[in-house]
Amino acid sequence: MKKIKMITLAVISVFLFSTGEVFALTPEEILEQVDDNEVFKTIQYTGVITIKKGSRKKPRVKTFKAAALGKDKAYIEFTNPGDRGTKYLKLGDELWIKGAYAERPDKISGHKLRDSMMGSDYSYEDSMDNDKLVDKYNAKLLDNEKVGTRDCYKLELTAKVKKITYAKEMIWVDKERLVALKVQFFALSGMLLKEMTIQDVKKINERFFPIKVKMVNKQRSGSYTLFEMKSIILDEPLEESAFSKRQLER
Amino acid sequence: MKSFYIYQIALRNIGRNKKRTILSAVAIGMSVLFICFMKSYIGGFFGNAKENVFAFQSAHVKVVNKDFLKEEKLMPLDLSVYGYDKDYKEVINLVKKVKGVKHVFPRTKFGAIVNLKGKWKNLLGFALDPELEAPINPLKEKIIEGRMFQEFAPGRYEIVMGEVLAKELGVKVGDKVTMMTKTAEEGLGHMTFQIVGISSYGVPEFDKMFFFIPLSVAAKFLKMENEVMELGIYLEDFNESIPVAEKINTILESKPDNPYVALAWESQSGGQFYKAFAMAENIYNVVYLVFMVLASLVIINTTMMVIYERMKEIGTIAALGMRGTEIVKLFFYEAVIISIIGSFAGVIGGGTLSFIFFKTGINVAKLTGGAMNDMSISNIVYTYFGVDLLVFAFVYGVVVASLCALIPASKAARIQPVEAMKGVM
Repeated sequence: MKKIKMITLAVISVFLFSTGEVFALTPEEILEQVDDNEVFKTIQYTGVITIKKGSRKKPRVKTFKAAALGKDKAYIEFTNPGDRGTKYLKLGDELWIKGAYAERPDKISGHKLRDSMMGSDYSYEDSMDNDKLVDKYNAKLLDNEKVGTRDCYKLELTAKVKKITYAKEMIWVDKERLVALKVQFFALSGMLLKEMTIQDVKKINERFFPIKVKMVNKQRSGSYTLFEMKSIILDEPLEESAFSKRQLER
Repeated sequence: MKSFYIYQIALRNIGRNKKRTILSAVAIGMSVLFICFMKSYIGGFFGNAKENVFAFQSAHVKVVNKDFLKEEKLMPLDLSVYGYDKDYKEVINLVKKVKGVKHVFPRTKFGAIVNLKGKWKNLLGFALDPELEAPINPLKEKIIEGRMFQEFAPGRYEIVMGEVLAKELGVKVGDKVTMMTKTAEEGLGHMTFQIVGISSYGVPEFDKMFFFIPLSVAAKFLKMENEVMELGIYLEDFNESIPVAEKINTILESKPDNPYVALAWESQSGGQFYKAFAMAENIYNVVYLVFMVLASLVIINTTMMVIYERMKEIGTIAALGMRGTEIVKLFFYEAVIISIIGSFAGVIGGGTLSFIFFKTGINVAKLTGGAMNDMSISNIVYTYFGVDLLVFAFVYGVVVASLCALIPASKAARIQPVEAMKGVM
């Protein structure tokens, strides 16, 4: 989820800060702009995740409220009846979770970070990933392609660091709005793992914000996760204490 | 010549060389003792595996969601037994109508993890109704410390933990342990349990893997209100599992869009495990035969020697009119009598040993150095003991040894009187 936000905000940032001379940008410069413009002070929103898995007929719907302070602090609390009281707290590189019936939070670490988050097609790692793309990947402009009806740049990102979740990514960036409309995530073997498509973008506070994102797990046929953000509030002051473990234990 | 007379001659001949007779009888006796005890041990061993597999894994017949079978290894909790309109009890009521069904237990087995100082340990939870399960799976009797858990109440989430597992986790009665799991709604189950009891089934595989919780607590932890993962069905006769499963399936399929299937133990993974044991038992039967034939070599050898020694005697009785079949009978009767003596002694010895370990048990865990800890075998295995075992060992010994004696005996029948009597006259 953080990954989506990161890419979303990065692409929005590109749009906000670009001067119209986008054609002059090299792939690295596009990435740098994406990263540079990722910043936001705070964000609050309510979210809806719709999870469809394999042959199961009925998708599961989860609702939550979320808040984030900068890149390092985020808090999510699920509100749908089945998951009410489940909370996630991100503090830097640490991810803490606490269920409604647990007396203490648990820290997710190691290989467990690769597990699915709440049964979705996002892993905990996906949700925590907030590193700059330019720090992790070398970019190469491959082609100009359409995604739906929109003209896009097709960028290939290859990892330049060893410790990384996805060895390669392909991003299709909307030429006009500089919004990523499609992202593919690859393993080291070259296998396509996941594909993310931005289905809806909304203008908020002069930014273009993706508010509806679909993540498809390419390793599980018929599985996808639809992520929607509602009631988004950007850059309103938030208390630091809202992101403490004490808050989690309440 | 009448068989009775041949029998009398055979009886007399046995007494002519007591040492040789004793040697043959002892060889057969030792073999029968071994077979009797091994069969008793293997019977107890497999019986133990069968009981454990039936009690914890396969039941005699199991009702599960059809889709669950496709993803069984992942233990998907959303593919459960939830009834048709209301809850899983609707399915129980249907199953109970089938003749031959004795018990139906709602159960949920699930995976969970616990954070041990930064390292995650995988556990297996077993949600059950202990009162209902008492006749088959008497958890209450297996609690060696503390007490049985209580049903769910706000703030009360109690569990009973396997002895070995508790040791590995370094927890005791009264301690709290926080576990995590994926719920039936694909969410996060995260609950802090209080350990109120430590159980010991004496089965290392289970004692180090399972913790037990009431179904009402599992309903909250796993978000499985009114649903369970399986219905464990126990029959009057477990050998009837296939026809009973078919009958249950007929009833279930009469419901529109029925999502459930009944599986006999033979067609389940746990049942396959037991079937593998049963196959191994057949192999052991072959081993018994080989062993008995080897022991019978003594009687073959003894009979051969007797024939060569009594060559002239055989020639004489043949010349007096004894037919070949009667000569065979003579030596065959000798072998039968020796086999009976040896087998009887072997059964007494083997039966005594079997009875002792039937009462005291054998510490298999100690004997194998824990090599069987990952199998569904108890630490202490009680050997099998019964009249059928004694009868089997006795008859087996007598029949195999006697039949083996036919080989040299038939040779005696082919002896020509003129050849045999050379040097007599």
